[in-house]
Amino acid sequence: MSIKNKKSKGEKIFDIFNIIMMCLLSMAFIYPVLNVFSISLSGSSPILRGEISFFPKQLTFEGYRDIFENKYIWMSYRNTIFVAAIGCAVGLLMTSFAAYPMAFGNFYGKKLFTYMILFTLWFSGGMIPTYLVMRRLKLINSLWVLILLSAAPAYYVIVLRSFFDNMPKSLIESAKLDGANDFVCMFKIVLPIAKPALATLALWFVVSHWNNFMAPLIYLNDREKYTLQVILNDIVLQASGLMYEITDAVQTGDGTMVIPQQVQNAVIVVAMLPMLVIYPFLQKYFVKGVMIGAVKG
Amino acid sequence: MNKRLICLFLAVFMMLSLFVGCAANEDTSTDKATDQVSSSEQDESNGSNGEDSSQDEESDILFKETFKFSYMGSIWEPHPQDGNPIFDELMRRTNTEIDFRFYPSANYQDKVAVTLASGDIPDVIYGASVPWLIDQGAIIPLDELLEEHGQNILANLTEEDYPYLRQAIDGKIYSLPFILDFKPAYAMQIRKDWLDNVGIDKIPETWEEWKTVWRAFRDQDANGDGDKTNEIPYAGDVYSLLPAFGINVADRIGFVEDADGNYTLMYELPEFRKFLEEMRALYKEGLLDKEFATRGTFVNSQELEKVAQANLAGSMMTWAANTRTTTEVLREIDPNATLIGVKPIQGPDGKRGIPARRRLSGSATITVAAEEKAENIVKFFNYVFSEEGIRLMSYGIEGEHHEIEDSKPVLKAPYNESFEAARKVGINFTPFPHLFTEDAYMQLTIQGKTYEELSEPMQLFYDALYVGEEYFFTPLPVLNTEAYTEKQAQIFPNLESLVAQCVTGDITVDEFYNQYEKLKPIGLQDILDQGNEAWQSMK
Amino acid sequence: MQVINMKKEGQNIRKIATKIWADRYMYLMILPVVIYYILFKYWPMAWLRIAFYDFKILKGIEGSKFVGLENFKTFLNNPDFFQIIWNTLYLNILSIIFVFTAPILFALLLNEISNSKFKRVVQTISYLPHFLSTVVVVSMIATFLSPSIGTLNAILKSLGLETVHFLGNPKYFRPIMIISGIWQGMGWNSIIYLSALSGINTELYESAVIDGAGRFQQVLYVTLPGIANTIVIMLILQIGNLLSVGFEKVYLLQNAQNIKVSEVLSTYVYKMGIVNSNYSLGTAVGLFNAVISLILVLLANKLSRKYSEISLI
Repeated sequence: MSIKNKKSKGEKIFDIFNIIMMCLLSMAFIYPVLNVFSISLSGSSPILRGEISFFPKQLTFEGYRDIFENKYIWMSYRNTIFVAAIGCAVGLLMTSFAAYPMAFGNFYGKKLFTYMILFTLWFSGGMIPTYLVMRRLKLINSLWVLILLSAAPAYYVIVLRSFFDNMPKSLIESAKLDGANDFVCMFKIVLPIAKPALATLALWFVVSHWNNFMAPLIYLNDREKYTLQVILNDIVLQASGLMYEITDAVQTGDGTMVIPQQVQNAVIVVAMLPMLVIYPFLQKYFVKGVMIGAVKG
Repeated sequence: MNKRLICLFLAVFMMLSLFVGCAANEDTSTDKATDQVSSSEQDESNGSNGEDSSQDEESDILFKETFKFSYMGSIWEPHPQDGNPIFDELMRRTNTEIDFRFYPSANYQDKVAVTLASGDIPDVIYGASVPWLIDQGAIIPLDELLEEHGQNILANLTEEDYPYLRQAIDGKIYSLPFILDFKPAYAMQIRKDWLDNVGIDKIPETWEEWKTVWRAFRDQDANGDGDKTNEIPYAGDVYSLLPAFGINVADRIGFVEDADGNYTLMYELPEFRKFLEEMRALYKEGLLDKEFATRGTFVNSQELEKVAQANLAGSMMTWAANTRTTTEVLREIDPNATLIGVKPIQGPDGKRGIPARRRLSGSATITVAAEEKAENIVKFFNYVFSEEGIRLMSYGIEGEHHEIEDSKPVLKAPYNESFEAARKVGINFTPFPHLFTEDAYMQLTIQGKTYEELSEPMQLFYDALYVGEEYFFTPLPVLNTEAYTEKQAQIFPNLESLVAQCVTGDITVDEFYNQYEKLKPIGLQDILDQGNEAWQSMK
Repeated sequence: MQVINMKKEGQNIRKIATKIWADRYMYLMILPVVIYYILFKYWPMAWLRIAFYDFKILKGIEGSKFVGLENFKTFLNNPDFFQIIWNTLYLNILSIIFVFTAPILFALLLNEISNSKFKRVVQTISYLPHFLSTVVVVSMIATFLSPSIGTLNAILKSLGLETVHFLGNPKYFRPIMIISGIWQGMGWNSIIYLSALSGINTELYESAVIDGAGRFQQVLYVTLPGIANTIVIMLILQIGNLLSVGFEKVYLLQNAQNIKVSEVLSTYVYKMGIVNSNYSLGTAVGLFNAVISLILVLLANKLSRKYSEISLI
């Protein structure tokens, strides 16, 4: 905060309490992840004995070797990055197109338009119907189906609109008097101010595409097109017998085919790492937004 | 200026997305075409190789004209990444061309559903729920086709197999199985070194002997970590102790045959009351696992193995392979650690038993789309179940994956080193009906060595496989009758919960049976009646 | 008279036409969105009627048997149905009270930290748990809480307390769900509030300071009103989800001992389909849920409009 004023005693105590609280929370958040990371680098026996906590024991890169030996992993990285990047761009554009008229428009049919979007929050056609429609649209086995299926989720539209609602309407009205049309208003005035909101949405889009697991399974057929989560899940699948009925793999393997735990954990790390890298990039927009957002009355 | 620019941008954007969408589709088709070319090339080269190495059986080849069909299955790692040499050989020998479509096993049933809905129905579907496929009207019964063209398949089935193959709904056979002809799988296990630590030399057999051992594990510091209280005398769920009471089940559903040969639930047996009473006593005494309800089953045993490997479990029933892994893991910190397989526990009435491996699993079904091809598909799988086919699926290609020694196939290294290594080249490839022989299984299990050459933990595993041999039983199948399909979701979770409550002492045995009877009018009775009816007609 | 009416009508039409023409860019803007929604969302909805059929995939809807409300009866007909609904509601109400508010508090606290580097690091760490899949989270919970190998019980033991089988005791099921839910989502869900916070005009703080407001008052009179819009909208959306609980986590944490409190609508429906995937039933449950959600949201929206003038629609 840019405002500096003398802190009272109570405020100082609060600050200390706050920092301690944040440190404790951070520990709670980071420990399990650190644990996963340590297990991914440890030898089998200490893992099985349950000895790994903060640091790896019997350091080994076996887990990662197993993953990167899978030749589809690189393809799947490429596919996922493609889907996440394009999906994010398309998504931001479409969501803005939907949210801007809802917030600033006063046109005939606005209410209908709003209801049309809201309704899909709860009602959806379901898996088979959506598949049949995608098939009609010739989108099966194309990465574009993943991008288009979540191009303008109602939830995101509403969130963005609530941000737009916070902006003074006068901004646009004066620009319109100067002869700017709505596209210009949106791209030149509204979106630059809404950068923090857009950064949030961008993050949501990227992460949801990154973690998307069901849609690629249903809509893609070729191994070359699979996204990261599908390939990774495939690698650890039999180990997570929790969710599945006992498969033939376990039946024949006598449990000897169960995937080692370091591989499972390496998979988690490999899937998570890129997401940790992008966050700091977007984080700066949350801060910058303060400066730009400080609109003079 | 700006307006035009933005309109232009919009137009370009839309065109672009359309264009790229189409382009992506074209990509697929060309990809597939090249794939096919390369695979057929591979076929040719393989073909010539085959002719070189062995005198070919061109004359009695299965199909005069190349027979084509499509095959949908779920797949899991590890599996052959670039073509499967064994399938190539199989297709060459039989003059077939199979369009394999393998998908990840997660949400596979949904994948099957959308595939069926799209109308592009594969000829064979492996791994989807058979009752569901029947209900959808998607597959055809195979009884007559098997009778006429599936002699080899039938020859590998025993009388006992049929109830597992037939469908409860109409008693017909709809699927071709994967057969693993190897009964040993599970073993009762105990820590030999703990026995030594508490000063007991005799391996327990009777109920009283076991209870003495469990009490000693409970009271003394059997694992030697300085904490007398952390030993779990018997780890795992209570269901694994049912066979000691003469109730031969291997799951938590619990279908059994009663004294009169009726198909019923274990709760109906007089032995079950005895079981509940004993379990309550054990739990009260602190001999049972406190976490019995959350430790998983002996089939799905990761949680159980976790406590075993954390050096906390004194005895348990699970996969025999656990004796080896647990011993290996613990020996690094305690050279005396030894988990051995022992004979199943003898219950208070002297009964004992241990479930054998399910012989049949998997399911290849022929869809209505392949009605005309069905005969040839059965003929094809008949070859897979012929002596030659079995040898190919279990041992791979001669010279490449196995050698003949004393007129018997012997897997070559590295394919005999592990199930993973074998599976990576397509040996014992499971989303595909075939028979995997006991001998091939054993070669893989002991990695092509003799018993003497094995490490001690491996020997423990080997012994554990066979130690309960004379007490093996085959649990009954769960029959998917109409009532079962409809009501199981409200009945069985309730039953499991009642058993858990009764064992922990939250309700009395009488209350348990009261509650049990209350479930009958809301569906349990229908499940019992329809199950028995289907069973009697199938036997 | 008529002439005047005609004239009026003509004027009206012209007025409407002028208005539409004036908004032509708005229409151009929503055009791709409308097309998209019709193609991708509404076209598939035409199949929602399979909830009233015994839908057989190969036969299509036309070939399937119309069964009326049979599918709804199938899942309403359970004697435990009210228990299941109650469990679902209870879990969700707890979740609104605790899991929903935690990220707001977290964002406010984080906002009060002046060291921006520390702030960023905490923020980045806080959203790590969001990236662990449910299966992983549940196995961590199970290990952490286990009486035999868990850390928590080891601590209890070292304090001389009795070990507790948390997962086996129904009374701990809801706290486990809620606390782990907070842990999983607090950081991630705070992002939206943080970004709303960064949109607050700094001048407001300056004038608050001039008016002599302390830090607590600033939070109360500037910060909270600044993000109230976002909070209310998120709350309304959350209220719409009262009948849906994420299936996976509950299912994985469920066991024979806690089933009485842990059976919720989604797990029950999953179990019904475990033998035969029944898409008609799934659609029926979905419809049931959607209608209830819609009613709840409209109610919540009405209340919100009355008291805070913030509304979804």
